[in-house]
Amino acid sequence: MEGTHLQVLLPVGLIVSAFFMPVIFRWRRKLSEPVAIAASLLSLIFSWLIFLRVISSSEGTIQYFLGYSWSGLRYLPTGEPIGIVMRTDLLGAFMLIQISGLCFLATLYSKRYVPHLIPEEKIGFYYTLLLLFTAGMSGLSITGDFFNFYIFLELSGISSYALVAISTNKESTEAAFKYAVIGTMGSIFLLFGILLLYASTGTLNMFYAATQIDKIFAPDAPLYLTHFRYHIYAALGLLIAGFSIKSAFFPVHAWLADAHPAAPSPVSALLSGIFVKISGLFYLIRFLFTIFGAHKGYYGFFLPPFFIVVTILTAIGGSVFAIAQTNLKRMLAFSTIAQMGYILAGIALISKDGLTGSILHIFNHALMKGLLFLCAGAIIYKTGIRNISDLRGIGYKMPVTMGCFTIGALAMMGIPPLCGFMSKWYLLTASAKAGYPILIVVLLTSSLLAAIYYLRVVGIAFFVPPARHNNINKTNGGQIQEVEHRIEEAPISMLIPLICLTLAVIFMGIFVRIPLKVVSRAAEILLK
Amino acid sequence: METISYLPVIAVFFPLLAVFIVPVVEKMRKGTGNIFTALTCVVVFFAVLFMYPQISAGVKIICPVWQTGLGADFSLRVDELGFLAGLIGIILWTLSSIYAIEYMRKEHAQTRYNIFSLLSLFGLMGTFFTGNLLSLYICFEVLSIASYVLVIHEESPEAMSAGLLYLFMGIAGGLILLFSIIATYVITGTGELSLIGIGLKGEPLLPFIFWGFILGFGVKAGIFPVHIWLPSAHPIAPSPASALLSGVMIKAGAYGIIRTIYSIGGLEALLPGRVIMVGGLLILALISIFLGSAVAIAQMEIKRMLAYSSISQIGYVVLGAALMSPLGLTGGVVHIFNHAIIKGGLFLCAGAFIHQTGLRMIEDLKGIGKRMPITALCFTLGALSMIGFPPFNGFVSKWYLALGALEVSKTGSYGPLVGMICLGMLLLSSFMNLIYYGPVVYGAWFGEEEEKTSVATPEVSTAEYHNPGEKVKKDDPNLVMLIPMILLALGTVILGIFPHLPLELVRAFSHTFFPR
Repeated sequence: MEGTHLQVLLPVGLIVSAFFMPVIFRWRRKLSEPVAIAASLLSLIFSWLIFLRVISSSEGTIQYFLGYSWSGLRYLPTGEPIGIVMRTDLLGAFMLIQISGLCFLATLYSKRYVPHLIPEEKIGFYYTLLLLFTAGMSGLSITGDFFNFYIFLELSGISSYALVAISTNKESTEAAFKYAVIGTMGSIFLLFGILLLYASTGTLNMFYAATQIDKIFAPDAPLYLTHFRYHIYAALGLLIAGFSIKSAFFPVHAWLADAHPAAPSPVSALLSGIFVKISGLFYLIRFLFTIFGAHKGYYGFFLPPFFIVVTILTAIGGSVFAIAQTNLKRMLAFSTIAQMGYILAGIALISKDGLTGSILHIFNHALMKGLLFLCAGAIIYKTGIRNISDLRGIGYKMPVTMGCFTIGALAMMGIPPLCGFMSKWYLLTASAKAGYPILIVVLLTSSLLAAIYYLRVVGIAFFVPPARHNNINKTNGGQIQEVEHRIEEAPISMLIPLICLTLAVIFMGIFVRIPLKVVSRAAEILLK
Repeated sequence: METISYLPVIAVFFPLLAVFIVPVVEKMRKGTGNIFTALTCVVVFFAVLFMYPQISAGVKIICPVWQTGLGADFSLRVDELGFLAGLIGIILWTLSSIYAIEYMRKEHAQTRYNIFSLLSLFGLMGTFFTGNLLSLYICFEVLSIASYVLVIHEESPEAMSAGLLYLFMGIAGGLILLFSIIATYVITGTGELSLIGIGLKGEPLLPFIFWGFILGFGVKAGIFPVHIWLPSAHPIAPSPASALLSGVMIKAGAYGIIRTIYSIGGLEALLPGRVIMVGGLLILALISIFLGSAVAIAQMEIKRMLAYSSISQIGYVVLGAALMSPLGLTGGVVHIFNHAIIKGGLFLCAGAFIHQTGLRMIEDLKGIGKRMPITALCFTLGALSMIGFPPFNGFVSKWYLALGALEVSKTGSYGPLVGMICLGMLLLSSFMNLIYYGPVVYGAWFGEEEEKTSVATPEVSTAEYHNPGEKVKKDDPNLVMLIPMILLALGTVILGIFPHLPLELVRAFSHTFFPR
């Protein structure tokens, strides 16, 4: 179906508004936040319009042709599109609404959170980076060619390096440097992979490349084409390596555990909630299924065992490391790594059910992990506490925040009827159907470990009384009880995103039919 | 025959609705939250009661509630077993909530207690009234998580560690259960409890699935190898919650085990591997019966003794189910009903002792019968019923279990041996019950009241309700606490003399599996 101008307007508009942020900040200090919030709200509306257009189209895909020939010709006689094509399928549009929804909540949350963290004069640049980051991620989800893919990947990647470093303390600078080095290594793997793919298919359009790969692997392919098969194998290997780094699979996960906790909390929520998936797992799915056609049996039986080994390492390893953490945000970051293993489990099955479970879990994890990081941020904002053992009695002090955290943690552990359980159920049934009982054992073990580290936090927050000597108010020494139970909740602009996400965690669990309808159709389109 | 009715929906979801109202009510006027909780239970009780005409006519009540789209829907289905378990669950819950109005008056965090009590009630009712495995699992998990908060209500270090063990065993058990449920779904393609028995027939993985179910439910039931959380978690909770934990929540596990054997496994499906599956379960049940009674003898603290007694009694229920004979099944299911009444009453009496005098050690309770005659009388009736004297209701279920054991001894080559061992164990356990309940009852009525130096010895004390120096009241608790205890004590007698209500339904249930 014909695309809309919004597909171009969305990233471009975000980029333009990003560059106006410092100017607006200089002009009127007070205006910068409302403008940023308005820009992200506008992008949210645009994303929904795009999503509605995609879902109402019969084939579930819309294409927008950019810079095609003046004669109105859109395709070459070979069938290759001319110029740049913004091609958005249902999966991309589904990712897009997650991105812009979470970015909107994070921008709203940043209004109060950021001024206490970074120097006053940098706030304009913070919003520049945040909007650029959003623009890069939105572009990634709706683009249809390799060149734009790489541009948007670097745009979002570089702005995320800068966002991690923005608090300019030693820890975050070190983490950002590590993140930048490893992230760039991942990008280089991806670039080489794309180059090889371009060399062997001769096109930058992802969907035309897919038809070329079909030709190369066709049983009756001419000899000169079959030679390209080895190029394709090499490209696939390079791309898998690159996406493994980007999505922090186990042996190459170390950057995530440093970078995500070091960033400001709204940025952590974006990084863990959506960026690691849009730049890693989403494109792994996109390349494997849409372009390389892994479900068509071109690559023998090599892929599932490899992915399953990585899944086991990631799901178990991430959880085990998370148990050992003392810092709350670092624990959440390791939990993200474990969840990447979950999502990979569904991809490893190379079946419709598995893919449905994976995409559903991508969505649910964005809700849950976004919620948890924003809760951790609210705690840091109000009390400055970063260590789990210092959280004693915080549940009485900040009941709304910790209530939301508890629901997020229960969803993360997979307690029904919250949303985490639904995608876990889908992944488990899919792996049982595909005949990999080992995955069931691994995923259930990982859930048990998740219970251990999340319940520790919840238990400390609600049931361990705060240390007496810290809390005796000198002017009011006789009334310790009063001091302990005084409610000091985060400001309302930070609580709104928390409550929105909590409600989403509950409703997307109970009414899982709604996302599932979208997700299963998206998986069908991918496997076509 | 099946009919659609909204009564189960009210029974299951009304407590969930009330969860959101309790804090509002408590905020409007202090102290009304407890009363509101009790009223909610009464509403649920009537919703359950109104199902009786249809259930007794042999009609199953079904109601689809929520289409998840996961290939499994949330639907409710009430049959005789579910009705019976749900009925006793809500009776005990109502009485315990009424009791809690007075008992919890001085406690902290009452709103939290009420919220999680109602949430647990939702989980329990959902577990009993459900039609398929997905909804069973959802409700079962809600029950596990919500009842954790009841266990740790005191927030003392002992309560926290007991609660942690409870929670983690509950979650681990839940995950094992999930494994079996997923396997069942994938193999049979359905989760409807009435259909899966056929699908699993001849499945080579059946022993694993079966034991997954047994372990998952067994954690909650407290059968032998996975009972370790029970003796620390049950006594540490406030007494109304102890009564619920020991009276009905472990029955959710026992209910699951009975379902596993008779619906999920399916009798014919289980036959080839009978020794590995049901035989193993029978041995675990016998060990639970013996171990629970034997350790109970050594207990110094009354609530701990009652908790160990629960392990032994849940062994009876599982034994009845594992005998695979119609009379044994009848005895096991009736014991769910009877044990809930007896043990609920005993825990409420023990709570009354603690609430009024602060005494929780058995030796301190000497002469309590003179100070609190009505409470001690209720305790005595419950204890006699637990030992199995006729005409109390404990005797009825033991009678049927014994008949079931005799029935087994007539079949097969190993039948006589198994039957005789079971029969011997039933007699031995009754004798041991006499050994540990006897001294408490005897001491209460005929013991000399000594001057107490301390309220409780530190190593086993859990929480002090009264300061040692405080003047001890010398009378029974007020009517709000007395009435639930009296009703339960009368229940032990009445159901002993007229055991028809549960028995007819149970017979109808067992006839669906053992047609004449």
